[in-house]
Amino acid sequence: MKRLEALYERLIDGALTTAEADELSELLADVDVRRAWAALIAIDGALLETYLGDSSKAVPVLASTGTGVHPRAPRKRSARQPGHRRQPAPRRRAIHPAVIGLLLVATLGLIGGLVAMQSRDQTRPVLVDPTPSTARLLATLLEGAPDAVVRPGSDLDAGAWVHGPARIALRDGSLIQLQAGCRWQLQADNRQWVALGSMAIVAQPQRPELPMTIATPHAEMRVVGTRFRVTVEAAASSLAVDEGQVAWQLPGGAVDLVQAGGERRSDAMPSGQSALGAPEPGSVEAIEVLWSADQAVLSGVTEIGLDAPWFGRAVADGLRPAINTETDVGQPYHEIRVRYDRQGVVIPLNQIRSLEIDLSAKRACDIALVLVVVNSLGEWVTNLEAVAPVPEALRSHLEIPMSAFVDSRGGRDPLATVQIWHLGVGPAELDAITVHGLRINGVKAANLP
Amino acid sequence: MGGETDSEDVTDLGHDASGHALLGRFVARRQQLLGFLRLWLPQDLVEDAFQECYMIVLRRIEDFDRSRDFDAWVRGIARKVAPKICKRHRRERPVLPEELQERIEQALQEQDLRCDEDLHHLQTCLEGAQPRHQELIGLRYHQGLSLDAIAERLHATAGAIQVSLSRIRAALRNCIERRREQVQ
Repeated sequence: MKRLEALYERLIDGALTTAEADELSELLADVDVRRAWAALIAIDGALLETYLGDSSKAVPVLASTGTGVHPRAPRKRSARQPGHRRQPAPRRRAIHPAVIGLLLVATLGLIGGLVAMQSRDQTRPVLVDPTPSTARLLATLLEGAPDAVVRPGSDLDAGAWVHGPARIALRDGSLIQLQAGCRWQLQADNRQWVALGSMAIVAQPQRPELPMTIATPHAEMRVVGTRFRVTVEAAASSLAVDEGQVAWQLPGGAVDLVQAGGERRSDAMPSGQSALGAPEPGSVEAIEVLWSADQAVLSGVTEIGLDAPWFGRAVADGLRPAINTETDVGQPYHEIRVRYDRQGVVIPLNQIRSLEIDLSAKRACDIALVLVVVNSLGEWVTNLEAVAPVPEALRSHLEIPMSAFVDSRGGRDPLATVQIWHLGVGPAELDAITVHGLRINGVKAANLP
Repeated sequence: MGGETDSEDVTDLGHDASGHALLGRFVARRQQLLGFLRLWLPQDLVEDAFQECYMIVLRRIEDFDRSRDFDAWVRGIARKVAPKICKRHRRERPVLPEELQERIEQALQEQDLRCDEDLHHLQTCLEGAQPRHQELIGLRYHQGLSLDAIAERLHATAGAIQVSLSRIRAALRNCIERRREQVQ
């Protein structure tokens, strides 16, 4: 069986030669070998399941001697007391740290590629209106990821998010290349916002009164006709100027004119300091682009006000359905039922880190978030519930970690899945809440409908 | 929430009870499919492929012939999804000979379902594993490094790493088996 495992390792490394494939095929003619093979796949699948999608299972940093820190133990769910409430995370204006961790990319070689790209690009879009602040369509997406929401050839309006890799032509002829993972937003007044990742720019000469401005969470750069690169990491942004000059400014700091060959890097912002020009949460579609790395984004939300007759103990706050199947006393409960715009997305419970919601509230109130959990047979198992205060606001962004959800019946099946999400509200608040978007963090969303 | 209300919600998804049971089976057998996909894909693409398989199964579940082997049907989907995912990400993997593919499929069809590894036991066994073993497992399954890459990091030969991984898997299997017996 030693040879079998050696061939197995070669296969999963994508290194199996034709001769080795033939050898493996011959080995698998034996039923005992096939059994061992299936067992290999089973243990590997279990190990993959243990490690995939859980960044908490840190891999030890290895010293050259091979000794290192032990990996963290696989995360265990802590027991939660019924009725325990936790406050949702404070409103966030930029991007989820978990996404940030995924998206740092290198920029080397971009400039050369851009120059070549510019010289061979025969289909540069016609520049109809050179006034960025008044033009509706400010840029054209030349190339983008095949599964991106914004399609190549699309004109981009202010507020449009593009998720790299992508190539964009601005109306003034400037070219932008976003590296894979770069989160970029086109804003009005010749501004661009880079939430994360790397981009390279070949900029046309800019009008002094309204130069192209690149804002990041940590710094702001104004262009004076140049070639330069911007990289945004979790804690800092950096600039490298290849030609021309760029005005570099940290929040509250003086303008620093960076010449060709110069580089700048911001330090981490002090806690609580706001990012420069960070965009407010946009449309569901825009958020979908931004968040598509490892979140399920629910769009096309349907809201239905229901007076559902829950069965259980008395519900004191009018928000949450109490679960006690030992009684059959119906209780009034008002819910906003949220559905996926396509049917049937089922998310393994053990893959969820947190849930987020964008909503408007005409009045400050509490909402209950109720996750419906089903077992592998599609049968209802339990509800997970959390309560969050919602401020009166045109737009609020709440993030509720899974640890805030209380299991109404106790115990969790790691194979259970979440199918439906309800919001429970008091009877007077049913018309006060408007849901704009929901995200379930911690699952891959690229292939969700 | 009452169970009846939720049952209605589940039915709203557009599948009959049999379809729901099959979708539940798909989710329940996630780790088996992950292991199968790993044969065809680099590790970092496995989760994407799993999600895509799920969406295909979801769309086609009503067309599935209930008299057939559901897991084999899913693996057939996975085999078609894998090269598409590779192509989308501009990654290359060698195409396996048809005969080898058939043998792999045969092995999985004959698989004793009891050899499904219990995730809970596995996690406990991992916690109790030697630090060196934890390192190796982390490099292989968390970072998705190849044998050669691990060997380079640890200043060892690929063969030595392969033997170590083999021993670790065997130790984990034994540990899982012991814990199963203790529970029973």
